Amino acid sequence: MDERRELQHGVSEPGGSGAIGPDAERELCERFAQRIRLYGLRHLGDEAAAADLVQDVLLVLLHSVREGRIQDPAHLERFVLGTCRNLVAKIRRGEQRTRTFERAALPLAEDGLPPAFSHLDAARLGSCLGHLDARGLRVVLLTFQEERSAEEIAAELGTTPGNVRVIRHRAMAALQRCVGGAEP
Amino acid sequence: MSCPVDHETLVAYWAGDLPRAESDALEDHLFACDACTAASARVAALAHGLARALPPIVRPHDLERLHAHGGRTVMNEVLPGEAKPALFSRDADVLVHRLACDLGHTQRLSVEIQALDGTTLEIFEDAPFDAEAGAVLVACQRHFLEVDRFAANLDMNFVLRRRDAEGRETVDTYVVLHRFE
Repeated sequence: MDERRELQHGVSEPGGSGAIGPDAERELCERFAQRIRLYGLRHLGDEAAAADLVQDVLLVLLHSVREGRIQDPAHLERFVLGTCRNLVAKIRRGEQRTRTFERAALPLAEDGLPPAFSHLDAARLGSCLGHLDARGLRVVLLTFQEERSAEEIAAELGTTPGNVRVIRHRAMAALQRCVGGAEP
Repeated sequence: MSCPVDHETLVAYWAGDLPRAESDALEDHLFACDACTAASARVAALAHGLARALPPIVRPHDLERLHAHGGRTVMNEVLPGEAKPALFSRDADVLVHRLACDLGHTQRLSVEIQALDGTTLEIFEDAPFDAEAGAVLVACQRHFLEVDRFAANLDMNFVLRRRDAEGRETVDTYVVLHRFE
């Protein structure tokens, strides 16, 4: 049985053992780690907190799979996203985070985690920033360094929020091309 | 497979500028779509880099923010026509060249970095400045040494071209002789 079928088979036994092999568990973790990390970065704003969220959500997922508690294996992503939302809501409410499981139980090698975002060449990005027009530079720095809203930036620059969004999008697209990433 | 979500929406998401319902719907999609997850990761990487980046030409406000976050700077005052040695000391995060000039009537500024023989290394058109600052601030950062053309030309000219409202251009050259600890 291939890994994906094994996974589907394992999680589709309501109340059953739900046992899947270690390779299928690893595949499951690798499939969702990057998505969870991005969700954590967006909502927790911190690389370390996002990495913790990856661990916590994957452990909940594996535990649920092993116990056969996932009812809709065709839409595992809904379960994972729902778990992300629940855990982030708990973190925001200041509740103690659930750490029922030992991290050692996670079948995701250290080097199997999605890479941190340090691969961006800082020198290259600095140079690219120098090539943005002054207004585009101001908008992206106010947005991502000072976390100002489009409305706040518009008030400061004497323009409309809609125009700020256009400037921001164009500046980000130009930066993405400049740092050598794929076309946005 | 290309990402069916447009780039502007992903930028708005990472800027925290999507209404809650749209943000939730986008996340529903991202968790199910490999191509959009990859596109979102690229925007996230850029946003993450931007949150920590310091442009090469800065304004006083940028330095205040850097200091507020614990960044350590060394200022190097340079006058037009002067050749000034500048030590990037080990305890500094950024060496700031303060190129003195009158910006009172400046509408547009460009900064060209040249090797001493006049070869262009970099040109920043439409560079940011504060008219009241009395100087253009160049934020020399240690990782610039990773760029071959800078590492090979530690002694360099900074050429400022200031254009006023009538289109008149004023050009000043400053020479900085970098030394690194």
